[in-house]
Amino acid sequence: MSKDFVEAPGRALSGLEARIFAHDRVGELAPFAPEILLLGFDGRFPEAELAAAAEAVLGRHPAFTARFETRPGGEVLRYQDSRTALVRAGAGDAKAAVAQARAHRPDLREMPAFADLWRDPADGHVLALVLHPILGDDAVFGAVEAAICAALGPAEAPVAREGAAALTRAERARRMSSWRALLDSHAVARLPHRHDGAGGAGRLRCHLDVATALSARIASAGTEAVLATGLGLLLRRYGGQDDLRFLLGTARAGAETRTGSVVPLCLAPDPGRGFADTLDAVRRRIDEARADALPAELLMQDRLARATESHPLGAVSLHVLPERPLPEGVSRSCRPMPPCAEELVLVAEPGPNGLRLTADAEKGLFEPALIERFLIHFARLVAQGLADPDLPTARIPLLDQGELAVLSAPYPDDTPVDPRATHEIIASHARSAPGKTAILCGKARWSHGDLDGRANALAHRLVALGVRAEVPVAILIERGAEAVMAILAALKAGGAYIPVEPDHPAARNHHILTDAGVRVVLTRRRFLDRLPEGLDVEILCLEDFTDPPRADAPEVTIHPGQLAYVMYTSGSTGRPKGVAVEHGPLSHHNQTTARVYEMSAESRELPFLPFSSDGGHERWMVPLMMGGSVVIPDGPLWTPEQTLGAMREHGCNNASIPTTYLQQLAEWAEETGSAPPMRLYSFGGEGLAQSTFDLLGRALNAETLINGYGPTETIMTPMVWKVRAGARFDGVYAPLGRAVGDRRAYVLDEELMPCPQGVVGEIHLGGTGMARGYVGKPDVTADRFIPDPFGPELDGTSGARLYRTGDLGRWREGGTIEFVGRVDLQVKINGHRIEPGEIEAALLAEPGVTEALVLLRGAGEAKRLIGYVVGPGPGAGAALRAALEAKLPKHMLPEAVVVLERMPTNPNAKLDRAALPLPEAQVRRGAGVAPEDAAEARILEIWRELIGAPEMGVTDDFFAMGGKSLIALKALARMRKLWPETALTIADLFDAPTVQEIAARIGAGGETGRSAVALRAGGSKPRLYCFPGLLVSTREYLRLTDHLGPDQPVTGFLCHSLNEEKRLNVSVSDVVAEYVDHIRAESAGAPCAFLGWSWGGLLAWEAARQLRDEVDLRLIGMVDVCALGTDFTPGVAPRFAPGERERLETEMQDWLARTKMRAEWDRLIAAMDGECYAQFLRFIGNEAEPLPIDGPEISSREHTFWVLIDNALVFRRHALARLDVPVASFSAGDSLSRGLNLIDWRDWSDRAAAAEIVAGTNHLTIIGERGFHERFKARLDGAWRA
Amino acid sequence: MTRSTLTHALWLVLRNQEGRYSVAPASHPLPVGWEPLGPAAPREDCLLRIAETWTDMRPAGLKEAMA
Repeated sequence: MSKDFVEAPGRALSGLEARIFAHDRVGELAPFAPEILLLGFDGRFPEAELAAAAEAVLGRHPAFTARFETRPGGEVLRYQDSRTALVRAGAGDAKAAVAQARAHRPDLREMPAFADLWRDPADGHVLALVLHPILGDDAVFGAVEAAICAALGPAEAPVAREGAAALTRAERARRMSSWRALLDSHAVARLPHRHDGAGGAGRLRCHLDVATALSARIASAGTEAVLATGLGLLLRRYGGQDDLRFLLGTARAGAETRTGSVVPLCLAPDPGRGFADTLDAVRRRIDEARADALPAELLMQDRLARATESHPLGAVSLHVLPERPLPEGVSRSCRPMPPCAEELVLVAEPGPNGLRLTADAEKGLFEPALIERFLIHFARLVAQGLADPDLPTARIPLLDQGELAVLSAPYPDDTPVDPRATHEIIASHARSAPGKTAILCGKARWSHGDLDGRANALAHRLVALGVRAEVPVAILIERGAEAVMAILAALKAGGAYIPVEPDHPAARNHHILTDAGVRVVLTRRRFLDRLPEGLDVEILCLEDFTDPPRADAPEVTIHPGQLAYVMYTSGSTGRPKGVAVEHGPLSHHNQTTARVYEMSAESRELPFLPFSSDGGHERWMVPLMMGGSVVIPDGPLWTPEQTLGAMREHGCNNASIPTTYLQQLAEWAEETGSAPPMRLYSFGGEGLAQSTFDLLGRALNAETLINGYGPTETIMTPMVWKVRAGARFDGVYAPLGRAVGDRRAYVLDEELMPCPQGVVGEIHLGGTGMARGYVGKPDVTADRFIPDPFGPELDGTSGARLYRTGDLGRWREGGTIEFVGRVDLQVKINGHRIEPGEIEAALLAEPGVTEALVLLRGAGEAKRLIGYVVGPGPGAGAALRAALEAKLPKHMLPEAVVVLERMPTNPNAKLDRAALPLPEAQVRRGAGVAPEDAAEARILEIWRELIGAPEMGVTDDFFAMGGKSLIALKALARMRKLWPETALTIADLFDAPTVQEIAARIGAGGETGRSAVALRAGGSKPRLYCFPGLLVSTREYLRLTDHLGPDQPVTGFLCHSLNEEKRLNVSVSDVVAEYVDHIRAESAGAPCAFLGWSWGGLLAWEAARQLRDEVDLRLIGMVDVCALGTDFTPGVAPRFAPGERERLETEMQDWLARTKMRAEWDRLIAAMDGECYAQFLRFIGNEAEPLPIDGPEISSREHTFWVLIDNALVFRRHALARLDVPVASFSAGDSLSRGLNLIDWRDWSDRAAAAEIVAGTNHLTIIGERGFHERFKARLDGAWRA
Repeated sequence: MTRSTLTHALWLVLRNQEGRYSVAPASHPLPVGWEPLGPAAPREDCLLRIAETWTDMRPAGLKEAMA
């Protein structure tokens, strides 16, 4: 049976096998792992029969007979002539067996597979099979399992054979282009990540057992399609993407060899259709995806060749393990998981009692509770979808009533509501404690009795002027004791007050005075000129009102539905809208707020909020309602010193201050140590960053902090977050907290369905604590205040409303709500939702940034994402943007970062978005200085043409004007033609990047032709030398240099192939001679480190060999270093079909006859020995493209081809030697997936570690990626410390 | 957030017991305490109808008390 295998020659590895082999070779197997299967056999199977059956299968199944051999050039062949012995392990149960199985380390050189047979002390036997992942997976084990069970039975079942037909080139190309289109148009679906990376390394795993009945319903509709449908719909809601993709594991996979893989599933579920329709569509998509399948490695390589992504095909995968019933008496206790390569891997395993869902997630990215809830919501969505197949899927609830009730709940408060209106409660203290202080403002010191008496007198006058229910009275008086008195008078008269700030713009004030039907204006004489002309109202100046105080208020009954005030919003667009608020909800709000803020008759508050915002009114009403007092600043512009001084002088215990001002206050207090002890600070108005919050906790000497949030439409501060000072939060901004009073706070999606915790939606507020609406705007009111679908179920209400805030938020773990941004500022690009908050967080994490704001500016096509920051120096914008480049995906990068001295605010102390400056246009503009001589003129002409910058002058920087590496090479080539006697290198261009400088250098002679560039000249640490890959200049190391920081000096060497002279047939030791001289001159006897990328790794190794006794080499970083492949490795004889070699020779001669590089090629070919020449012919024959004839210019294809072959000749003759140096090795994920011939440096140094894998990068991109920079920096810093 | 199915859906003008008006998607269950007025129509049309009808925004209880 196994004869075929024994005699068959070794075969090349499949793509998947090559990938796993590469992982094994560099010493990092993850995401693959040894595969374990555990089968239990009860007493009915005698040990001898069991052993015989197992041995028969072990002897013939390819997974247990495989052997691998590495040939010169790195080619790996698989042979089937080995054998896995069945070990009688002795007595032990399944637990012992699994422990032993996990202890086995399958090894490709020694033992890739293990088989242990245990005698269970209780009953029967346990068979444990362990495979190196290259040999098998769950599907292979399925075949093995079936074969063993069949061998135990009456007849021996053959192992199924699979045979996949090879794809034609055309078919492969067609599939690739169809996948490209699909992958480009569907975004990678993701679950919300946690804010910090505090989850730690590794994976977390949780399970959910689906009820038997639901499992049966799922199975009958097709488990894989149903779960894929459910997952697609759930990811749509969790990730906020319409067109999305995730990965689907291949359920039907190879029985003999590992073929199990993943295929991207691209879905665009229509949320308006039912589950049944969606399921049909998903079934079709699965069939199409499978019909068009390409190896996942191939798709991944294609994506990574175009862009760097951490999970190029998908970040979530779903694997539905096929059901595999076992004969009676046989059980399975351990079955392999698919590779856990994605951020979230979902596995559905059918069992005797139903489906078991397992979620395996990256620990650092997710809250464990989020993953647990995700599983619950997954099952809930599928259950509901199958039960009500026509219900639009968007309407399937993810949260149940219990979850929603808890998340939306307000601060607990069951104190009965006092039915009296706000001013009635305030007045009650004038009777019970008339002498107690109520207001301190400037020189005024009013008792509750004073305040009430004056307000009563004025109220009687207002009644006489016609004020009654629903009649607005404008209060055009500056913030102070008299404004409070006037407001109370208006309320006592039964009217509604409208605050008008005298110093606000006239246009705004005129609109307010004419919009709401104001009947009486209470003001001062000096403000009379601020009234609009022809205003038909009664005007009463306080100076003219001399009626004595009186104890009785007008006889007025206040209805709870009666208007208390109209407050004008400071909308960024359009005219201000008047928000009308009624007495009932106002009084209720103030009462509950007093309790949440723990206010009492002892409260003395300093309210700093302006009277043009409703929060400013809450903050005098509440203390007065409790019989306490307020200290009202007598001017709008108190310095921090004045404010803190007033708090101390007057013994304040509370203060309410806009966030922007509070920050200044805290900074001042911290500097001077002058913060008086306070019970409470409340603040609000802007998103509060963690750094500011920390500052408040540190500097303000307060017990409690309250972050208040609330649109005017929901009355003052309907939500608060109350914490002890010193608390921490995670997230960009301080939480908005929970609702207050008779309100609930919700986060809803666009279908008004509650969002799961962590998912962004629009914040809605429900309950009675909201405004009547907008004055004179019934349509806008109906648009923003919508029927409440949840109140009836949760609280038994009827006819209640919800207010759509227009703010985006998410429920955090713990249930408080976090602010994320504005709905109308939300940006979507290519299906990626951009949350400005995330970009702001990245900006805030940069040193010196204290405030950050990211906005979409401009309109239509011209929309640009702009970042604004406060804190760093004025010139830091470009550096900040560069820092973001390393942290954020490209679609999230702001076009520019503008540094401001402070954020502009409007009269209400809120951020004034319209006043933010637009960044200066980012046009490169040359200074345009004219050339002084012929040499400069000729260079300038070349540069202008190649860069495409006609305005460029002789003092403009080549690279700043847009000169890229390739352009630099072309410019060098053209300049060399002009000055053939001067050896110009790209190093010269870096050091002398203007026409003036390079012309001077050429003119001086003898100063050109260097091959080392100081990427960072100074720094306190030892120097790092970077060795180049082929055709590498040194600019490739700039980002790494940036990341390593200002203390790390870095030198980059130019690739010798970029030098002017083409030296042929040099040895590796000649190539590095120049570098070695440079290092010797600079670092002899001193510590230093090397970094080699690609071929540069071999150069670095040779340099280390030559310098081993001369420098103190602390580390060599090896970045994706491969040995020579099979093409040119000595000893690998190329094969030709009959006549092929002759044909290729003719082809080559034809080509040589046409190329301008004939002489160079002739020299190169003459240097080849017979074997190498044959390999060269083979190489030409393998090339798909016609041979290039566009040389010899340095950036031409032909030049590159020549360099490549020359390089092969150089390295053919080179042999690595063992060295005693510390090596840190890094491999690109893509290079592993291609099974490249990566060098395992542990073979060459005892001080080398296994490679670290940088996922989402390829051979070319790894050097520029943050993931690599961070890893390398950690190793380098470690090396310096050692 | 994702694409909404409601952008092009039909909506209803609703009124509650306090005489406050609003709109809701016709495809959603009728919220408790609200009665529909008139035929389903695009959202903008519903809002326009409300602008014409809801001229006195005082709640019903207050109107009664003031009468």
